[in-house]
Amino acid sequence: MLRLRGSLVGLAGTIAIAVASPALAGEDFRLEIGPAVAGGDNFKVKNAVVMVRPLACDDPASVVMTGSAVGIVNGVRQSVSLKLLPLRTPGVHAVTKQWPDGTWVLNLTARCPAREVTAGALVPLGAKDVFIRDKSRFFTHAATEADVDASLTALVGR
Amino acid sequence: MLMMHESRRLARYHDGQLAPAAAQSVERHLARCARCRRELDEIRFAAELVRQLAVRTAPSSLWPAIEDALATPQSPSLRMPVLRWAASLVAIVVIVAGAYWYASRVTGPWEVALDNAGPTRMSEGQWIETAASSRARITVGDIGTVDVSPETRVQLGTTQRDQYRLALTRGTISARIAAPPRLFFVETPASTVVDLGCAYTVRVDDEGGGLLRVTEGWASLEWKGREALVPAGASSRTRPNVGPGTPWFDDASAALQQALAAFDFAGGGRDALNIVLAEARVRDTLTLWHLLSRVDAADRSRVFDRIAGLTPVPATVSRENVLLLDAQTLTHLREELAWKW
Repeated sequence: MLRLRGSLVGLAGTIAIAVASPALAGEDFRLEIGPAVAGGDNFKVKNAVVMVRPLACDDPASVVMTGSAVGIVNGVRQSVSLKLLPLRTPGVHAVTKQWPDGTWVLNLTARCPAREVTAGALVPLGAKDVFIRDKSRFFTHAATEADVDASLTALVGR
Repeated sequence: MLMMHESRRLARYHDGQLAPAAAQSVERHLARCARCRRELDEIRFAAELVRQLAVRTAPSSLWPAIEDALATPQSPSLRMPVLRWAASLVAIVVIVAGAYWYASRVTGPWEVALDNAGPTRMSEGQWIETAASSRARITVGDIGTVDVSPETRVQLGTTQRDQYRLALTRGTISARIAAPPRLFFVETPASTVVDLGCAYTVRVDDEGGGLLRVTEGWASLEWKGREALVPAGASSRTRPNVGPGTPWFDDASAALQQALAAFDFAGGGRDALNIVLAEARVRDTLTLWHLLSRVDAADRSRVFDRIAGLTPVPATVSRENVLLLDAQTLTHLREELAWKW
C-alpha cells in the first residue's frame, strides 16, 4: 500500500515537472534576439547592437553562449570572434560592436547543458549596425557554414 | 563611470608640492574628469584672490598687544598632551564635516562652450540663449554633453550630489549621457525628461509643448505621476497641463501616429483608440503597453487582447493582474515585450 502511494506521488511529481518545465514539455531550446533596451536600464549596454537570450532551458544561467561576426570588408571576407557580455538576468547577453565597418552577419550559438542541446542564430546587420529582425534565422543547432554563407550572400545582395 | 577623484591632492598639485610621478597621475586624471578640473579652477581662483590682496604694514600700536599675549603663560590644560590631542581631533572633525557639507552642496559650476569657442565656467541660474546661427555645448560633469541648437533658451540648474538639472524653455537640445539612470534631468514646461542612460533630442515649442526623440538607450518623460518610457527609435510628445503622451516607434504608420496624437491631446477617444489598435504591429506593443494604463477599464481588456494577438504573452503574466494594473505584472510584461522591439 505504502509502495503504491509512493509510486503515485512520484508519478504526480513527474507530471508536475513535465507540465511546468518547458524542457520536458517538448519546447525546443532556441535563441531570441532583441534591442539594447531588452537589457533593461543597464546604461553600460545601451550601445549594444543586439541582446540575445536562451529560451526553453531549465537553467538559463548555465547556458554557454558563443559568437562570431562574419563579414565582408572591402571585398574581403573576415571573421571576428565575439566577446559576449553576460547581464544580470541569467542567460541574457549583450553583443556590442567589435568589428570594423562592412557587411556583417552575427553567428550566435548557445548550449543548454541540462538538456545537452544546442541552438543557433544568424543575425544580419544593416546600416549603422542595426540588426535586421525579419532576415534573422534561428536554428535548433549551431548554424552551419552553408547557413552563414547563405545569410551573408543574401545580405550583400540586398 | 565610477572613478576615484583627486580632490585630496589638488591643492598640493596646484602648489607644486607633489612628486613628479604623482603630479603626472593627477594630470592624467584631470584630462578626463571635469569635476576635478572645476575643483582645480576653484583652488586657482582662491589662490589668485589671496595673491592679489594688498600687503599692508601693521601699525606700531598693534605690537604691545601681541607681545603681551606672547608673554602670557599658556593654559595649563592645553599643555596636557591628551587634551591637546582631543582639541586637534575636534578641529579635524569640524573641518572634515565642513568640507563634506560644502562638497555635497556644490559640485562646481557648469562648463559651457559657445560657438566652438573654448569652455567657460557658468553658474547655477544662468541662462544660455542661442541666436539663429549660434550653438553651444554644455559639459555635464563627467557624465556627458548637451548640444544646444540655434534659437534655444536653457537655464543651468543645480548640480547636487552628482545630479545635474537643466531647464529648457524653448528650442532644441541633444543630450548624450553615459551614467546610471536618474542623474541627469531636463525640466521643460510640460514634463521632466529623465535620463535612464541614453542619447536623445528634446524640442520645446513656443507654447511649451515638447517632443522627445531617443536615439540610444532609454529616457522617460514624467509629470505628476504620469510617465512615458521612451526607448531608442521611439518618440513621445508632451503638453503643458496634460503631461507626457503615449510613446510610439518612429517607423509606426502615419495613421497610428495621428490617431495617437488625437487620443492623447485632442479628445480622440475610442475612435482614435480603434485606429491605434488596428494599425499596431508587434513592435507597437510599446505603444499598446502604455495605453493599458491610459484607457478606461472597458477598453483595457481590448488593448491587452490586441497585445496578446500580436505576440505571445508569457504564462507568467496574468491577464487578471494586467487588467488590475498591478505594477509588478506590468513591469514584467514590458520587459518581455521589449524583446520584440
